[in-house]
Amino acid sequence: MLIFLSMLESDAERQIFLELYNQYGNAMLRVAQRYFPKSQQDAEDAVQNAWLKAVQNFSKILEVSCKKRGAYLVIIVRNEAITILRKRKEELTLEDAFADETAAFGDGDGKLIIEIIQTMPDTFRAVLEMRFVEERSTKEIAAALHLKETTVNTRIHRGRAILIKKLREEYTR
Amino acid sequence: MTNDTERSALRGLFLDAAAIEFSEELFSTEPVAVSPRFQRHMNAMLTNPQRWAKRRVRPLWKKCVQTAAAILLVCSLSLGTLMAVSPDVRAAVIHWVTEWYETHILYRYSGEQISGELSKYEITALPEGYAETERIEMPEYFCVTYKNEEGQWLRFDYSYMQQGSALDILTEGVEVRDITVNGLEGQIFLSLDPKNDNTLTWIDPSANLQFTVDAFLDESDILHIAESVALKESTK
Repeated sequence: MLIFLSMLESDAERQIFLELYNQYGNAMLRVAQRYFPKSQQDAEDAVQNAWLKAVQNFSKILEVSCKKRGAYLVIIVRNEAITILRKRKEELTLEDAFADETAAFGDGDGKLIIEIIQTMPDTFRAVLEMRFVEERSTKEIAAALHLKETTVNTRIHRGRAILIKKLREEYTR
Repeated sequence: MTNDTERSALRGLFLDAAAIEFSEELFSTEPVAVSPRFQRHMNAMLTNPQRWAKRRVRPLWKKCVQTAAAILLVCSLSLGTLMAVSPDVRAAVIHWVTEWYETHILYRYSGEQISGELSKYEITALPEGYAETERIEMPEYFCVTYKNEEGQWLRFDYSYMQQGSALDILTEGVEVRDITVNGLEGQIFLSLDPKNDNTLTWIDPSANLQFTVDAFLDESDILHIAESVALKESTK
């Protein structure tokens, strides 16, 4: 709460926030519509939840370079959409079953690292994004996605291992 | 690579993957239609992000208790006595209920769904130095924003009071007073911090509309603007 209260207090910060809204507000709605093509209200709820996270974590957004802030906001709204779907246990059940297997998507051999991320199941990727992009705790991720903390930790460990292995391979080339 | 480098690299990778995957959404310039309620939430957020966020994170149980208390209060104080008042007032009651909470006032609408375009209203006494910067025209909601050279905005909006819609106005850090605008009842929300904006809202039951003027101006100036609002083009 202390961090939250210290955010967005200056006029300069509010100006940056306004610019973010003007630049990416519609993009966030479009992303939410991908997940809720038939429900404008659900899409808008996901976007509102995402903006709430953006306000609360404004200092983290400022740490991201300007040209990547849109992607940061898109990740937040996507994960908020997944959170809403997870709460209802809708549509993501198959992906869940898929992601619960440790060998769900192999170790990524032969693929570019970005491709590995893009082929991850939604909930698996959401866990990793919530940890590595949004910097949420295991407990927070487990609550948002209705998963056991042990499941969250397993996914983080597994996903991180695959990506770091690939990163190191590319780093040493 | 160190752990910090790895963490930073991982974050960069996820951001790059999202930028590629959602490039169409990120670069599209097509406007997106939103509901009046969402638009109002966004207006409240942009006016004061902290205040908006603080209200949204209130525990659910507290919201529920407050809602129940407010509805009970409205029922016990208002509905009983309203049965005795004029037919005009009874007609108005079915259009909206005003719920007072600790942190905000909610005008919950219950009027019938309305089809057709909104009648057009405009401010006829816009303060000097303000120019229009944004206009949103939807079937049930209209909003126009003006700005002056100092970047201070003045927002005028109105919407149909129809079932399923509501108007939220935050009351933290503001003084709320009843006020009349050309004989119509309303409330003015005066910020205790002079750096913040003030809001005046009033209801026209005969037109089934709720109007709002929001600006960085004092009470008398905002009231003067509100009283200058006039029907420009009727759709009835």
